[in-house]
Amino acid sequence: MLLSAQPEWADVTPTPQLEAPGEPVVRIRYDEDYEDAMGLLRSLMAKQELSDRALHLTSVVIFMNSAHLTVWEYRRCILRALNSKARWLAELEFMHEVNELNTKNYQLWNHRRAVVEVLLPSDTEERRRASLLKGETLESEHTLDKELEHIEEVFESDAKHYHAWAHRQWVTERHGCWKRELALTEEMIERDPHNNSAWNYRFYVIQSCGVSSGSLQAHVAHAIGALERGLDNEAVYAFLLGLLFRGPHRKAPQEDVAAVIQGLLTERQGGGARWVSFQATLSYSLALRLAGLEDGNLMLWTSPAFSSLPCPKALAQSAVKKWEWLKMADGVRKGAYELKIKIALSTIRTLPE
Amino acid sequence: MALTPTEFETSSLRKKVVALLDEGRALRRGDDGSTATSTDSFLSCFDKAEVEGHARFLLSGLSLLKPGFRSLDASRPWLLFWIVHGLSLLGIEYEGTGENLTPASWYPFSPVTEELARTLGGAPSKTSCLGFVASCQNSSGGYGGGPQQLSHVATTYAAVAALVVVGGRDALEQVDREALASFLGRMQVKHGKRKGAFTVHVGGEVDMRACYLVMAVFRMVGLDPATFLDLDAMVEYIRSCQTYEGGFGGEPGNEAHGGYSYCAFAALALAGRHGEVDIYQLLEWASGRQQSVEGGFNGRTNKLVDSCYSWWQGALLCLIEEHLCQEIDLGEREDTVFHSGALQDWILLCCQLPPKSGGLRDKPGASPDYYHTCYALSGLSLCYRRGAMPHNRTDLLCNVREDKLLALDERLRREHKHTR
Repeated sequence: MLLSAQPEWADVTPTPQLEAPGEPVVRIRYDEDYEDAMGLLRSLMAKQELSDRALHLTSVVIFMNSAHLTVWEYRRCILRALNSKARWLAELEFMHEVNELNTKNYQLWNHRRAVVEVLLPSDTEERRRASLLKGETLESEHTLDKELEHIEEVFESDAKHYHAWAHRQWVTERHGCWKRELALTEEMIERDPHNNSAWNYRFYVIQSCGVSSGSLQAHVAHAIGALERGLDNEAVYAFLLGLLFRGPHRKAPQEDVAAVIQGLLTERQGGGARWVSFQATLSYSLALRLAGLEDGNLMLWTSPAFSSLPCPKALAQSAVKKWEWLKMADGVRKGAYELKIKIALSTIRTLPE
Repeated sequence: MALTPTEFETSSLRKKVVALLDEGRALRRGDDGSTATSTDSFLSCFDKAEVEGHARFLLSGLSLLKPGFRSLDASRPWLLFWIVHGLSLLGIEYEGTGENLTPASWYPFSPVTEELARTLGGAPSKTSCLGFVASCQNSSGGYGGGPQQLSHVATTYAAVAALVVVGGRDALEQVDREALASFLGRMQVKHGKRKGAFTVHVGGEVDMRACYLVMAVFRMVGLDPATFLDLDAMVEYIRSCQTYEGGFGGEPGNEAHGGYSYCAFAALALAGRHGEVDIYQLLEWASGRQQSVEGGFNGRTNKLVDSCYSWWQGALLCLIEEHLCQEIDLGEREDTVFHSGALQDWILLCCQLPPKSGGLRDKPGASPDYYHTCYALSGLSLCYRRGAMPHNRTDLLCNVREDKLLALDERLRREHKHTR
């Protein structure tokens, strides 16, 4: 039996969808259940009924179309009006069920943040609102650990789940809970060293928590270690360059940075196009910094620790030589290498001998 | 040594792809062996049957869609845009003041077959399309995913872009530009960590898509975003989303991703502020996205190729190159900065469905859909940009045909509505 025919809904006249008159355009042949539920929901939304039965109706529709953002937003309005802790807690199970149906869904993850803001308040305003919630403190309270666990469960079925990683960043940033994060990335990288989402998150954690003496070498060693499982791993090269030039290097001791760079500039036997490309980028990026053309106000690059390295011009020229070779060895990127060579040559003309 | 999970799925896909590329290239060599050069129009990639197949596939969604499409019930303006934009690239459009979908005057495969003619005859009129879009507009400004739905910046973009594509004098008449600008301005976050960014709808998520969608809408309707938005704050937010890899994530700290990177750079370009991010590092990352075996692009490092990135990554690289050329004298540019031959082979030999069903797909093994058909065709057209006529080029910043955007600009200027 359709919902609208049930006694519970006898007082509601369904509101039809106001399709444009004339020929159908991208019109969906809704099945009866969906059309019927939406008809009722439109009527409730029109009179802004914020009740338990309205809440239930939003569940019915969301299970049929988990991307219906208007309905998700209405659901949140209802939850706020009901202001019941039990109702917000029940969202965890509801979202779990929706996730089973479709995990790659913006609305679900946006809703999850709204729920976490209520159940795990992190600032004065959120705590104030939480204190106004009706209902007893229940046994199955939600905790930060449970939230982090949930995210890891999602990684079990999709280790590169974009929304899940983004959600984790959001949670750790608002709660400042960094304890487990580096270890998590090590586990994920061990499972799959090609998991760039894990490397990206690792960089984020290191950047947020800083680099202490000796740890830069440790991070580099760990990354090089991952190359044992395959030299053709773009994620590792990007990560290494990131450590050295995109932030973490600012807080590391100068000798550490210089020593690491010295080591990486050494030729590696059997390296393919990716390794050569990495070294070229490393040389060129270093050249720009030693010449004061990039990162100019960082004292690091004028440190005597770098004095044993080739001069900027030589470094830049060695990069150009590698890119010339790569035009043939990595032909799909020929156009990009040509561009990089042209840019480098014009820079080299400005460098002292 | 055991394969990592990534290597396992990549090698499985590559087996299929290499087989299709080998087969396709052998067949091609069996013909007269001529390959289209970049001076040919984009449609020279296809034969008549292929074009008609894709056209029929797109047309199959323009009127009525099966019940399973209810999962896209909040995205109907997108469905309209993917379909009419895809058709317009194939040379099928509502021409001039005409009410019916017809092949354009420059369509190279005239006359169309009887079958296609019949399908075109059954397609909705221009007025019906415009009417549908209007039914999604809200008095508070912007467009929702369907009638009586919350305005969303994505469906607003799709609705406006669909209007531009469907074209004609009156296409933008229905747009309440004042309410629209007010809606878009309200979506900008005014305080806190995400200041400058945009929410996609009231109570919705905040991410990089929104910056682009908002800016693209302002561009198409001919309004100056500086009047309604804090562009400095937007630029700061976008800068904060560039990762160590060089690409952009959806939010600060998120992994560099093709869709978000296109949105970031295109939003900046629309604001005239592309110089304010590390373009060199962006080039570094973006150029790594084209895969040497498959020829197509992936969206993130070490992920699988997907034909839709032909647009997001391809257009991004075209924009990067355009900007770098303005900064530095790069001399004669023969080809696109990406390998256009490899991209074409990937799209044509691996992602096309045969004429019987038509349409283009994410990758071998996937089913065709309107989204992938739209973006694979958009990406493919990039390979033929250089020297092409405006009706054969899609605008890099809005992804609507250049001639249609130019016609719109001209009309808005004549009516003194253009404030950019």
